[in-house]
Amino acid sequence: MPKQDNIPTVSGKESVILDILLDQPTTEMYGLEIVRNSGKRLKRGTVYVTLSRLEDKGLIESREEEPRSDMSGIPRRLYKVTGYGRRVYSLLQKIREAAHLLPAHSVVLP
Amino acid sequence: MSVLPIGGRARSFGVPLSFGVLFLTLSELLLDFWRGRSTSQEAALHLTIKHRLRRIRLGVQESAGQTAGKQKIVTPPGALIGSVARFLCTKRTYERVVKPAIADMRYEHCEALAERAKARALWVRIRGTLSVLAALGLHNLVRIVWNAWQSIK
Repeated sequence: MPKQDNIPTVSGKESVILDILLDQPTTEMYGLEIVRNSGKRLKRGTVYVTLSRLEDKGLIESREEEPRSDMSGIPRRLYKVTGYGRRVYSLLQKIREAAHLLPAHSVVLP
Repeated sequence: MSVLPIGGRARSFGVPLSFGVLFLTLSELLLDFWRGRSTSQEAALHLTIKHRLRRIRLGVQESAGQTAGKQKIVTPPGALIGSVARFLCTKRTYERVVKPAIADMRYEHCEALAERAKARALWVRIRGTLSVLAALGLHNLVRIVWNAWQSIK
């Protein structure tokens, strides 16, 4: 169970994945489908590690697809955003929008 | 028909044909016997039957041999790397990283084969294997070893 008292950090690649998954929030996607929809922003070699990290943070959840009679072999893994992930993403979007609204010279240094 | 080797064509095509010819020749033999033909004609007929059966037998063996020669046992993409990763990685890493990567690679490979794009299927296989290696971070290990070797040289 992830810690939900602090906002988790979301890297650029993680943000891209959340962006793609939230384009169609009701449908689940495969890793390969996410890579294809990313428009070369994600690579096959890194997407599964990033998805695993997102799952650790509790932002997405996954399940193996049901075995079909016409297909054999390893079942593919389907991913979708959790409610917590949705909330974190919307919060991050708000922070980004607020950051864009600020003029460039008004950056406050700690 | 104990000489029949196992093979798709032998089973589906050769056996019914040979039984059919055998039935015809035996019926000819019975008819001739019924009509009361001479023994020399019967002996000739026996030879004909033996000759026909031999031809059928050889044909079936040849066709089965050709079928067996054309068929190849091919391992699915990612079988070796999957088994190695299952041995080296933790169950969690295997389930979350390696297994979905291999499953997606196989799906893409099958898509390419269904479109009869053999070159693309090969490329998918190579790229998929490299991506699994990349996911495992082994390519970094290989690069470190390679750089170390280059610096020593």
